Order: sequence, then C-alpha cells, then structure tokens
Amino acid sequence: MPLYNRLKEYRANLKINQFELGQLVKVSRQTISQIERGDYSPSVTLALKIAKVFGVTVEEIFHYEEDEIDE
Amino acid sequence: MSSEKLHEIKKEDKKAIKKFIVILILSALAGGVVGYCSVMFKEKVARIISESLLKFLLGLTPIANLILPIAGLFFILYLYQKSRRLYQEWDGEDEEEMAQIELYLAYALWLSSILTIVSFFLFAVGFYNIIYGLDDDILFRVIFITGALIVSIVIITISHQKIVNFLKEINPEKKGSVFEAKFAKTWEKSCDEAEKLSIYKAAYKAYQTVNRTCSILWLMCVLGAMVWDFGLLPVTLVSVIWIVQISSYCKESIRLSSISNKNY
Repeated sequence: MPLYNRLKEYRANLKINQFELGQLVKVSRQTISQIERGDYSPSVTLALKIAKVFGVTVEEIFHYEEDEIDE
Repeated sequence: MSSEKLHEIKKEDKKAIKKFIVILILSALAGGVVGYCSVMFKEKVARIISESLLKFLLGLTPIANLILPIAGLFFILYLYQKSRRLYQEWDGEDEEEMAQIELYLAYALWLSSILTIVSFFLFAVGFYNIIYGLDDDILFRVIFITGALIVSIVIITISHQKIVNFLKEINPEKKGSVFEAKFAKTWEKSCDEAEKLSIYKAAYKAYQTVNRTCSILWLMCVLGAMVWDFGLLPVTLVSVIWIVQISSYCKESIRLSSISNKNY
C-alpha cells in the first residue's frame, strides 16, 4: 500500500534536519528517515502532528495511490 | 456468514489439507526410519558420538570459560570503536552511514547476548567436569570456573552498558539504564511507534523460530532417551519451555484483544 510523501521537501523549506523534526513530533530521527523513504507509514496521530509542524493539511504532505494490483 | 464465504473457507481447507496429509505421512515415515536406525546403531554410533561430544565439552573447560568471553569482548570492542569513529565523522544527514553505525551496534549487542548464554553453559559444563571428571584439583577448578563466570558477566555487562549508552547518545529520546531491573520495559516505553513495530515484528519472528526449534529439540530428546538413555528430563524441559512460550503468547493476545474490544 504505497503512501507517497513530500516530507523531505517541506523539511528542507523549514531548514530543519530529521533529528530536529523528530524532536518536534516526538519520534526518533530514524522514524522520520523511514517515513521519507516510504519504508514506514505513520499513524494518523503522527501524520497530524507532522502536518501541524508545517502548518499544512495531512493531504498536502501525504498522498495515497492505488497500485494496479490493488485495483 | 454468507454461503459464498463458507464455500471459500472450505475450498481453502481442501486445497491445503492434501499437502498437510502428505507432509504428515512423510514426517511419520522419516521419523520411523530415523528411530529404527537410531536403535539399530545404538551400540556402535551412539556411544562414539556421545563420548566424543562429552570429551570435547569437558576438554574445553575450564580454559574456554575465560578465553571465550575475552575473545568475544575483542569483537564487541572492535564493532563499538568502529561505530564511534563513523559517528564522529557523520554529517548528521547521511542515512546509509547511520544505518551502518546502528548495524554494527546491533551485531555487538547480539554477540554480547550470545556470550552471556555461552558463559552460563560453560559454567554448567565446568561443574559437570568437576563432579564426574577424574581431576584431583577440585578446589582450584571450582574457584577458576566461578571466577571466570563472574569475570564474563562483568565484561559482558560493561560492554552492554557502553553500547546502550552510545545508542542513547545517538537517540537522546531513549531512556533506561542496563543496571535497572526493568530496563527492557523502560527502553520499550521510550521507543516511538515505528521502533515498537520493529520490536514486535522481531518478537513474533522469534516466537515462530522457537516454536520450530522446540519441535526439533523434542525429536532429539525422544531419540536421545531411546539411544543415549537421557531419561525423561530433557523432553520434559523442552515441553515446559514450549508450553510457556505458546501460553504466554496466547494469554497476551487475549489480553490485548479484550483491551481493544473495551476501547471500541
């Protein structure tokens, strides 16, 4: 279930590194890295916290696309 | 439940049961052959194997009781120092480098855990040697083996502490000291959702592996009882471990299920 994100882009705009973002949303740097790579899909709570940091909606950072197999 | 779903369930069972029966029959045949051969070769091969194994283990102690943990410590130190060097050079962003650092530390922790168990095992072998061996210098052996175990535990605990403290430097949100009784619980509490998921996935994999291992050990203990006169203690111990493992898993599953039902 692919969940695409623009987290790295938003993080670069805010000029903060993974560790700093992790501290703001109370997760580890590693988790932020996994989310950016698409290796981990955050919970709703975490996605909302991340969106709040950047002052945007969850849908502006994360979007979901159906695979051909899923269809 | 709809009849279509029931039909699908029956179809799934029908598909799998043929393979299941074939595996059952083959396992029974293989077990029968192995059992027959074990009894047939009891006098010739069994005695050679058991005597060689005993000789090897008794020959190891008491020297291995000290040498093995020290040798292990060198490997752990090597991995720790390598991680430290890489961390000092890390630019704060390179993900591959950080992954390498964490991999080295994970291997170091793995090795220290194995060393702990090996130290306890060699301690038991050492005492077996004292009780059943022909060595006269019993007092020296007792002191040496006990001292070696204490030294091993101290070395392993300190190396464990160094690695954990380094991990806490890399991940400042992590809590817990290796010296506290509830370290594992404190550490788990300080993990975030992704880290907890990794822990739980790894734990489930360990559960599956131990299940398979218990079934193999059960077979070995049954053969051992027939071929090497183990008695019933080994198969009893394996069965106890197996039951405790499965029961603790099922009990926790039921507890978690009832919590989520209440919240719902």
